[in-house]
Amino acid sequence: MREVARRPAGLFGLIVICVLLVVVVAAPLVAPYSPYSQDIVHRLEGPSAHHLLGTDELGRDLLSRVIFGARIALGVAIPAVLIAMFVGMLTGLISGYVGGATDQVAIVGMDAFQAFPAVILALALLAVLGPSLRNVVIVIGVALAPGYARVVRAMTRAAKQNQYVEAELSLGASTTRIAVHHLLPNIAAPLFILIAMDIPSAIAIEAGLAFLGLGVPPPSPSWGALLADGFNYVLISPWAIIGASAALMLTTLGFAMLGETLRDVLDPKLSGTRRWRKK
Amino acid sequence: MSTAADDTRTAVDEAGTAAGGAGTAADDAQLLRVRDLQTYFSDRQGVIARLRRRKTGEVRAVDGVSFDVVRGETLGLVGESGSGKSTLARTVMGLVPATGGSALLDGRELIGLRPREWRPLRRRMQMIFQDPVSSLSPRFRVSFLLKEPYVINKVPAEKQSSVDELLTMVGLSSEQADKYPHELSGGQARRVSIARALALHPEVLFADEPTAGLDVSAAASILNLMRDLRDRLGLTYVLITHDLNVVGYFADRIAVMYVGQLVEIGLGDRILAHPRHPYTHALLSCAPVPDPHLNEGHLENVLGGEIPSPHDPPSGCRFHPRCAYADQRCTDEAPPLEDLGDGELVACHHWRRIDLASPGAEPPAGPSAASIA
Amino acid sequence: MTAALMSVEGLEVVYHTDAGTLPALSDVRFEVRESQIVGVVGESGCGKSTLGAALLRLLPPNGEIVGGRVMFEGRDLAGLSAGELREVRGSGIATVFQDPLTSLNPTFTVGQQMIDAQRAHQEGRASKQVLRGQAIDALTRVGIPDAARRIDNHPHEFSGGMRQRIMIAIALLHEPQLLIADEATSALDVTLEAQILKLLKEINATHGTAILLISHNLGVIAEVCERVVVMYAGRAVEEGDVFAIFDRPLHPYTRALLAAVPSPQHRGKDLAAIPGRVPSLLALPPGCKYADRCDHAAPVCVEREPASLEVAGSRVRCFLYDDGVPVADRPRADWAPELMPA
Repeated sequence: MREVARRPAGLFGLIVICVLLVVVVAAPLVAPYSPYSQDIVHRLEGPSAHHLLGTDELGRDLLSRVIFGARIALGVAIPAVLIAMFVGMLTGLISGYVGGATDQVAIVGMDAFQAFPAVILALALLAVLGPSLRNVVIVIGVALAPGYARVVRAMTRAAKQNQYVEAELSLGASTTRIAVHHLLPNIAAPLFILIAMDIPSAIAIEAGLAFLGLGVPPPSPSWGALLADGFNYVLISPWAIIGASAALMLTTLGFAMLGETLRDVLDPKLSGTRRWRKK
Repeated sequence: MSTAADDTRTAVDEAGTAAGGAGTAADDAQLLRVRDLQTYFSDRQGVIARLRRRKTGEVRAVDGVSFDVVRGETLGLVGESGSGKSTLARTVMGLVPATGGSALLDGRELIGLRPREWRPLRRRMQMIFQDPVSSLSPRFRVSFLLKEPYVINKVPAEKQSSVDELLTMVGLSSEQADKYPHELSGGQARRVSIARALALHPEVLFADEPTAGLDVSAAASILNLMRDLRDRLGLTYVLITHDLNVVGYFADRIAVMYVGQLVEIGLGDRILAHPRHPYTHALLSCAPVPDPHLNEGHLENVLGGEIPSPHDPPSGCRFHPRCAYADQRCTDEAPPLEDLGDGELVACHHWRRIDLASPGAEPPAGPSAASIA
Repeated sequence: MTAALMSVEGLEVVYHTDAGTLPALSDVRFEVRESQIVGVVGESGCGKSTLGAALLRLLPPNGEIVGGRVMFEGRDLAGLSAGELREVRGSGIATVFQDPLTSLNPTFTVGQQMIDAQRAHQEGRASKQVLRGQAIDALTRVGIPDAARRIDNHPHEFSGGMRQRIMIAIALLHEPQLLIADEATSALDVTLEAQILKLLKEINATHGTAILLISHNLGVIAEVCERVVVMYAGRAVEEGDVFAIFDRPLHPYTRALLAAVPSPQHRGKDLAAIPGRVPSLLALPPGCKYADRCDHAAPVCVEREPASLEVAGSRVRCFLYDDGVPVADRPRADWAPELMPA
């Protein structure tokens, strides 16, 4: 972790995430107003002393809506990614370790899922399940799962070749024990990177869904919803779009930088050779 | 009419009886009896390709191997790449499924067992793997790795050897217990894997290239350790190696494999001095010895040709394309393993007629080694 | 009297690492005469691979030659410019490494790679046909059957032994005067290894190419080499004629090494393993680097490093033969009393 903080990109990412977490947890304290309280008289105003970001078409304080939007963003993204990770990991482990017909079937499945762009897939599933917070989380999780499954499968297959797997087998270890004790810890590291990179994806998907009107139902201040609503009034008062976009952008950037830094740090370094230059 | 396989089986049975050693009841002495063991791999991947599998897609890694291992002896299993020696050991250990044949450990059949039935037998046979460091799971300390065999097999506390005892047995100090595998040297890692293999008090130890990757000096101490353990614990070793010096030093009997088949087996001293199979002779002649006097003219008569791939072995006797003595019969007919008495077996049509002097002497006229084709 | 083709004088090489500066080679000296086969033998960490790389300045970025000279054809390779060095590589000195699979590019055919190698040293532009013909000849000479057809195969279509032959063929394309073989047969099976060693000997006999054979395998060294350099902890501890080294080794390490090789003669007896471990390059003791494992070490051995001395046609780095040291401080041994100062 220290290594990550040492690099500027990583530091940026860590700061963004910390701020985000604070905002999410302490939203009611941080936000000046409730995101739902309307004040039609003062609709579509620009930034002012009362409303730092201005108001939306129903007079709701934009800053508060953006702040509470963070809750939805992370509240959807984190569980979704966790679901994706668990489902993907389980599938990948079994598929990679057992191999054979099971593996073949799983691959075809993964291919099928990944053939659809995530948003389209999510759309289709939501159309079937109906829009709600819970369903959005599930749907995004399912859309992202094959990514994990593939990575875990590839790494399991590689790890399986290691001699220590054979050694454990010869001592009598069961498949479960090998998978859990010996394979899993060795493939965990890259998964963290994936997670860091996928959270912004999940947020983006949710925002996309919300923009299309299929996300978490109104009046929830999802950033995507803010974008959708603000879209109609952009010429009059662009602040909704500016606020939501800035929030989205910063969050995505933060996680992405963290992810990249993590990847750089965890990559095996050439021992000490990087700093030396030939005279 | 008996087939070559039947002849082989009979020969091995009789040889096994003879190899039992002076005065011991034959069956009791054979700890391990392998008969006609076959391990074939399919090299076709994918569901559709598998469904269309034809015979030519098979790799016959082990193709009908039969031999015995006497209790307390060290059998050296020698061969080059593709000989199948490692696959053979893994098949007997149950790490690779056999395609056919039988392997009896003290009378109990090993082939075709279900995973649950393997456990009690696993404890009697253990393996030391080729790469010492990567055969130890990297995330755990040595102390955990040494306790793991007991955890896996639910061994009651009274029957367990402590971590210190195991480390001492292999000549390591207790400081090593806290280290991770990547912190150990090659020799130390090798010792830890030996300790782990010994934790369950096995009777048979398969050692896969125990000195590979080790310096001369480290290799020497590992061999000393293995000898010491053999004497103290009464272990039976199956030593798999391509290094003829190691086998000459350590093995009681030597079995030579070529492209999945056994070509010769016999007492170490005899095989080294008077090999009967042309391949054994070639192998011994090619092996460099650290003595410039013995090596004068060594390279004059080098075995030509490439080692055939197990994908597509030559017909008849697999060695015939490279053999100076081969004739039409060798191309057409695979030679059975013949019993020469005293536990010695050779698979060659012409072994009686050819006189293979000590390795290093002049070979007869035949396909010259200079022509590599 | 054949002249010295390559003369290594006092070579010093270090590696710069996070953990400090590692002295990989210290004051290494030996020479290779024309058409001579010289072996460099030692265990891991002795520096033989570093030596192989340093001679042609193929060290990794954190390696540096900090002292000594590598004289080849009257020029110091350590001081040449990149352009001049490129001329030498391939046409004066060629190298064959351990793993041909990683030395050959898998996406190009063998023919293409050989023609590329030829073009690297062409002043005029010979036609592709001519170059191809030369490549086919080279492949045939190293024993690749059906070379005219197989020249269009890719590296993975050849077996390991064949690939090594291809590497040798490429190395010989420009008729180098010196061929460095760095563990060239270590990855090969015994019968294939013998074929390659025989090939190397033939090349030496017919083309007069000198060979520097680097290996950890004492048997290979004994089989092929005329002179041997024994290395330990970055130093050349003994150098001499192959028969001298094996029959009458002078340095205690050489003796110990030879005694530790298993053989049928040692059956039933313990092998003489050398106690202790090779010292870490980060923490080398001040005196003789072998002193802590040596049966004969005396106080002087721990204090200073022995100089390289000439003894009976060989060079040894050991105080046993140093008459500059007073008898009282000198180590003692009984294997060659006539060579040790009274």
